Amino acid sequence: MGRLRGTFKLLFFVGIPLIPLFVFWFFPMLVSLWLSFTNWDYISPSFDYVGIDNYTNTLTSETFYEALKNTIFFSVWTIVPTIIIGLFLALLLKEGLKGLTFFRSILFSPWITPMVAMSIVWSWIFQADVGLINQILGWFHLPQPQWLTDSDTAMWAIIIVTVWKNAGWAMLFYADSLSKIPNDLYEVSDIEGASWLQKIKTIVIPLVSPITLFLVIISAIDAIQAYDQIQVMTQGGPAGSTRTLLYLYYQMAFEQFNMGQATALATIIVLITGVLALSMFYASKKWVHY
Amino acid sequence: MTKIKLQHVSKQYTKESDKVIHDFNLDIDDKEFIVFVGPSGCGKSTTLRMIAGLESITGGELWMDDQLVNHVPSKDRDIAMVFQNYALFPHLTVFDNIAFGLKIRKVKKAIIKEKVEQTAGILGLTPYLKRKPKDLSGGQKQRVALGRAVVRDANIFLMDEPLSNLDAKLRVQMREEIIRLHKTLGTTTIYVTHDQTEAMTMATRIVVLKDGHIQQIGTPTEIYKNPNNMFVASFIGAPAMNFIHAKVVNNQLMTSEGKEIAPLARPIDHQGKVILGIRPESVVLATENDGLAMDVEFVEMMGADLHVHGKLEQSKIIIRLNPDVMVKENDRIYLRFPHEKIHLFDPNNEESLYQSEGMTAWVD
Repeated sequence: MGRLRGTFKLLFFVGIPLIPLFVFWFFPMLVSLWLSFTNWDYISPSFDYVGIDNYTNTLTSETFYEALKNTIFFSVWTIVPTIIIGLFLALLLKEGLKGLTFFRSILFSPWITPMVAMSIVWSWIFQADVGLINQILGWFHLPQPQWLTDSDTAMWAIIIVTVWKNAGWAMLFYADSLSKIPNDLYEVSDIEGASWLQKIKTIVIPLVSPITLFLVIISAIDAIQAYDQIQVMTQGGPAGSTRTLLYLYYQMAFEQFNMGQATALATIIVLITGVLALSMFYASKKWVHY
Repeated sequence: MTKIKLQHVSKQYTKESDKVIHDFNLDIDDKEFIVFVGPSGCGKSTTLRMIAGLESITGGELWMDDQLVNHVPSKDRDIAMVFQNYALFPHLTVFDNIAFGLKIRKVKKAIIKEKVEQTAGILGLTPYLKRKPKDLSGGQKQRVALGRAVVRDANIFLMDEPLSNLDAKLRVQMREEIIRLHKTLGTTTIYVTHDQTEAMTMATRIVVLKDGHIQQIGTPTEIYKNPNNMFVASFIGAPAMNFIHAKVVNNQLMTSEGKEIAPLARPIDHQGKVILGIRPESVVLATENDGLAMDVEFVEMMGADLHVHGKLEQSKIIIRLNPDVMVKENDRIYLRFPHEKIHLFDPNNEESLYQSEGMTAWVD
């Protein structure tokens, strides 16, 4: 009797939190997976099953590979600078600087600002004729690119905004991680005569590696899910140069109303994210020191 | 090997703050094993870190052989340091941890390999060379830290409470290893500890510190037998020296209630109240006729000794007896203080008035 009550209690307490998880996550995911085998157009009440057509169409389309290439490019060029700038800022603010908390707050503030609001401001800054960046470039007689309307520079504009937003966030994690490195290790290096660069290489980088792994995985997922800044600044253009996989999904689902193929693409994105996170996790065993 | 000389060395962190080290003077000879001992916050680690070059020196001079090194960076002082928390690089193997200093100094790989293997052999670390610090026990970790110091052939070893994180048994074992190492290498060593047993067993000379002031410098025997003041007397020795309120009347030592303890062998320039110091093992049992009464409060059986805690008049006292003696709680026992073992201290400034055991002649 007692055992049965125990089991019931367990089910009750575990079951309640599982309800929203099931309703808002598992269920839509399953529905989405099911839709990816149909040709539903988002509006009509009827649809047909099309087997794996949506998947073969996606995987053979040039647009998909174009978007995949853009996603990889965007991910690499947001993750690497975010990590480097974040660590650099954390190291800079590590030394007993006056007003440390103030500087940290300033650098962290982009992270708490909504991406949409920020993207609007940045789209003004990137304005070709009257934008701040081109004004400054003009003072130094440097070329003034058509940032958001040139397919060569639009992606860089999106990357700059994303890195600007994320670097302060990465800094905060690194600052915490750096504060946990025992001072003894730096002192040993001082006694042995290690240079600043040698200290970074032998102490800092290995000892913050768990945080680096965490930031890389989170930033990669964040990069794959980037939407707001693209929507506000370029809407995937010009000529598809800022169309990432997620933006392609949005266009398929809500501009072309091709829900079947869009959900197939969503499934592929989930798979890519999973494989990426797993492979990073396994690769990390060589360079992450807990 | 190197001689070290500290002349009027002082340390102050900011201009407004108080000095943490005051007028520190010490000459350390080549191959000496000097132990800085004192309670937390006495400035022993700060002094060591000034010698290491990890802290700046506010005043005075620090000499190593014939070179003034106040402003010489740590790396050029030819020192090796062992830290309390081992300070091992968690991502490097034992081999790479030991080799760290040599690699930074760009020593040839073949030489590094030879030296590390030789050092690992001395410290019994050969089977662990490929392991990471997290896979080692506390004692092994501290051996690796020692190895990193030994491998460099530095002229001076600085050790900052290296055994504090180890359990009692390992501490004894590592203590022996460090003594053995010092005998083999003969490197001038400065060792910081708050543990008086480590100081007594390892040092060629001990420096006792309190509140940034040197209290006494001497060999373990000198410090133990002839403490300069009550602080040194109480800090060195376990259980600590007993202090009993007493008085000197016409060259006669008496308890504060007027019972006779012992006659003084020579007159002292002090009459009236004194503090009598006697070590627990120096007290001997006596009879009611020729002893002072002590009421036993409790007894600690230590195996080799029996520690008897109690009160003599108003003073708390501990005596160390043979474990075969039958003494129990609430007993009244009688004690005699052999005159050659007695120390007297001034109750006002706590300085020694009398030093016994070979320094002062006593007669019955």
